[in-house]
Amino acid sequence: MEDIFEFIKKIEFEIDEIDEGMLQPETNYREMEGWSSMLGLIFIALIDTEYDVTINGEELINCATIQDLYDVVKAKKQ
Amino acid sequence: MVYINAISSYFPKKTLDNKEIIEAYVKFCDPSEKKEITEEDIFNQCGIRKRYAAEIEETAKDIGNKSVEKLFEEWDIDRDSIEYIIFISDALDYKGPTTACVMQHDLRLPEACGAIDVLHGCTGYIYGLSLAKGLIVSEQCNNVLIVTADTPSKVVHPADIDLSAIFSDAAAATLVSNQKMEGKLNFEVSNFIFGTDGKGEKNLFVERSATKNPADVAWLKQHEHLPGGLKRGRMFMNSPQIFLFALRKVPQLIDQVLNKNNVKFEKIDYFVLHQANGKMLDFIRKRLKISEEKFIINIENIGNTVSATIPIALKEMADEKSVLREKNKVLLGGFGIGYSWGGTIITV
Repeated sequence: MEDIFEFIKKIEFEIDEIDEGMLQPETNYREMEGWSSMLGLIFIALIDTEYDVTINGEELINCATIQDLYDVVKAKKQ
Repeated sequence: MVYINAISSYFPKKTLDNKEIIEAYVKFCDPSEKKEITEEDIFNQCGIRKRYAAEIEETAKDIGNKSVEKLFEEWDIDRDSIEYIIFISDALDYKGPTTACVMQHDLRLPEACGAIDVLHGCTGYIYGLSLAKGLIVSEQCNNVLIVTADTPSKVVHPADIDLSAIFSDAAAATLVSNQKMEGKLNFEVSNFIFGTDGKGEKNLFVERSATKNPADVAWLKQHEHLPGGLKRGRMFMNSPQIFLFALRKVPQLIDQVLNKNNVKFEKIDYFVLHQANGKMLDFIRKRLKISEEKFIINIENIGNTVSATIPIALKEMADEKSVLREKNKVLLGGFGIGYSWGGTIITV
């Protein structure tokens, strides 16, 4: 699987509400301005279609930072 | 050849804006689960600012009838020319008789008219068009009336604000014929694809609405304080699952429709998909790299009207003189409750 910076790039590119440079590995995305449950769904959907990994709402809630999310996706990919 | 010759839509008088939806939520939600929600939050979640609600005693059939009367008047169609009526709804009047039979009488259609109900939601219009085409191509009749009407507001609990924000009541009537008619739409209907995956049953359904586990006194008592009392059941939706289903399925649906009709992606002038949720549609649009001009999202002041979204959007496009040009190809796609999906292409 690609590194976390590629992962961040993809999220920033695909999600309108998130501009380039807004996310760092340590960003707590749920505390971002404009975060909503719809954005949560879009995260899940993006990960599903881009990485063929289905994460559920609970896993998303258990992640605080982008790094946590990346680690979940990476672990599921293996 | 088979043509969509006329479409008319009907909206109930009563509208609900985001403020009213939030007021109903605050009044009826469980106080321990209450979330702070603003009007802008609702718009950001689904791209909707206004939706319609039928009167408590007004059924999908009633608003369907109104869309048909409008069709006859607006397009100068003789009711005696109708040979078959297909009523498509998730809110039929009875388990018997067929609601379309009652509509034959209400609408004073000829006795020689065939009448069936099709219990379908988000894919309903695609089913209606395909059945109408089948009747015409097999030379059983020449003029088929499709009525798509739904009243989801009656089965939504106001505490389920993600549902009350999205769903809306409306109806549309469509005339499908074996030949073009002067001064009418004359949209040629191509070939169809269909899809079904019943494992989605419990991800979007109306519990306590029919023969399986019908509503009992205890259940009804729980809801008697609500406007309408949820006497027709309660809708349940697993939003993340439905979102994922749509995101996985819609790109496949589009590919299949293009292949079935031997049309290249670039040759499609407009994509008219079931108007499920504006935010979700916009996300799908970006993933598919379709420009905003080509991808119709008209949900902001209408809401998700279930089986009626596609004809309502087509009617709006036809009314807007600068949108549709002769020979334009419009891809139609329905997807949702079932799971069910389907699509076709129409040529202006």
